[in-house]
Amino acid sequence: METTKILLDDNEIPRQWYNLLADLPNPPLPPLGPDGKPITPDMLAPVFPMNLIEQEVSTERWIDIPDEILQILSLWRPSPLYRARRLEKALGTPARIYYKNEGVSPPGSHKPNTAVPQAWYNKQFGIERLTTETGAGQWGSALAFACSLLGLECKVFMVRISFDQKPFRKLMMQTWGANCVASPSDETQAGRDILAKMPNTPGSLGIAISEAIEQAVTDPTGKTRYSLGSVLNHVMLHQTIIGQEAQKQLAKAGEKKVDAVIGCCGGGSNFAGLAFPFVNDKINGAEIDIIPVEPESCPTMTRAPFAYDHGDTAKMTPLLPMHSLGHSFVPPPIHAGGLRYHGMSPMISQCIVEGLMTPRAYHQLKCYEAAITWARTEGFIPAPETSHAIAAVIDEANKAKEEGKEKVIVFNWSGHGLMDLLGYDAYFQGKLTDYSLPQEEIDKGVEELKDLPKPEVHKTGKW
Amino acid sequence: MARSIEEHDHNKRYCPILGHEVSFAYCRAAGTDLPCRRIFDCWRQVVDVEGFVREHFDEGEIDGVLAPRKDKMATLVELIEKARRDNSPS
Repeated sequence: METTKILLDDNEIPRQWYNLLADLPNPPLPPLGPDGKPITPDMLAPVFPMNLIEQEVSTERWIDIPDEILQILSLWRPSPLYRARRLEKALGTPARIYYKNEGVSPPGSHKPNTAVPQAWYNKQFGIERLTTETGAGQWGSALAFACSLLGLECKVFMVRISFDQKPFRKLMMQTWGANCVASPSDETQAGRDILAKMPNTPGSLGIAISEAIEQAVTDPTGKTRYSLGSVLNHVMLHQTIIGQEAQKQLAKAGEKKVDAVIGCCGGGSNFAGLAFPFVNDKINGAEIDIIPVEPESCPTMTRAPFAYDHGDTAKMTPLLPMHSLGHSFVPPPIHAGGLRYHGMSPMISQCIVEGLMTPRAYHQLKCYEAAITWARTEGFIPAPETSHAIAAVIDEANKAKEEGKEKVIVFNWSGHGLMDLLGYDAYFQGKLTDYSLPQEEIDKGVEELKDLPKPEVHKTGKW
Repeated sequence: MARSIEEHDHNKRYCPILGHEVSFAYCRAAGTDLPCRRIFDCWRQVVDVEGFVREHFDEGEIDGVLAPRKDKMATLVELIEKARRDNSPS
């Protein structure tokens, strides 16, 4: 029988996190605070414990994972690396396709890879309670799980509309002992202000973040901090255990060279977790295509230039280095608001600038088509986000077929779609269509950036 | 005659921010008086979003919707300062 799952023993779990900041030829530009000056660790101390802030700014290449954290992670880690043999056969490709199944954790996603360390470091710092925000509850349930195992109180502000419509992850959080409240709540000034104006508001993630931060900042005991599940450097760091395991598993499978590393990229943490250890290989001479994938409807990585831009149309906020389409970009049909969304990890942005990563964008119909091909071959039904990675994997596998090359493709299967089946329903009913932003609209928006200061684009030109 | 702001509210779709299905009613007033910043991306297949927004919101409000999101760290620092301000004895 051919091997489908490549497993590692518990004692083979990686014992250090890999910090890409140590190896990036040029580190990301610093974020600027409201005063226009770089943000300092002290400014973050009200919401994060200093030991995590130290990780956030650390440039040490390897950071030891404490044994107690490893012991908890061993509940589901090392996660299996699967060989997608049935998909390979269906495509008729000579490529060998591997995927890390991060859906095997108790909350069902990659999120506890950072929730557990964050809870542990907070506890070490003397913190007794963590606050956070959540939408449908993927991050909230991961943090609730972690706090439960470490004996911390967990307070989750869940967006009201999600709280009312999505009871299952709320129940998961309660099962793990978290206090999950609908946001806006009457427990914070931010929540009360909104409720006074809009008593029946369904809430938003922005309001929930404000409430979670406020509770951390204003706790008179000083024993409360805030926890975030994406974007920040220490979150990416904790996720690198995924890629390090994958490297060991690929070696165990007899693979000597990886040709493509692929992942869907929203806030960036699941992609970074798999990709960063391979970026290290690439920096050290390996030839690997590292491909973050985003939706074509919101092509920030693929089509927006890296530039300094104002954070607002009134030009009141400091200039920030970002992939931007221009601070007053309002194309004739003003459909592109989301294009200006800047939620990507700065390290991933810098990797793109450097040429270490080559992002791609896919239309949603192609992604659902890929998801269904996947479900009908490999069995698991992927989350809508994960389907973007699968679409890129299928493209790469078909390219290998055309070229007659035995490529090795690895991707992060970040989660199942069993709580997202309504999206599949819309696809089956033909309710979904594709849209692509015309280049001339992007060009027009970008035109206004030309008179602003240019960020120093640090690029070695090696990749 | 002006059309009702509720005319598209019956439409539903998956929200990539929250991670579940929402109606257009949520996206046109996502927790506040203003539409979600992603309303154009998410709904242009189903709704004339530009026409809708221009009909029901003024230029200043539209600018607010289109403003790009700030760097996460900068946002956190601003929220810390706001929380302190809002909760300081005046």
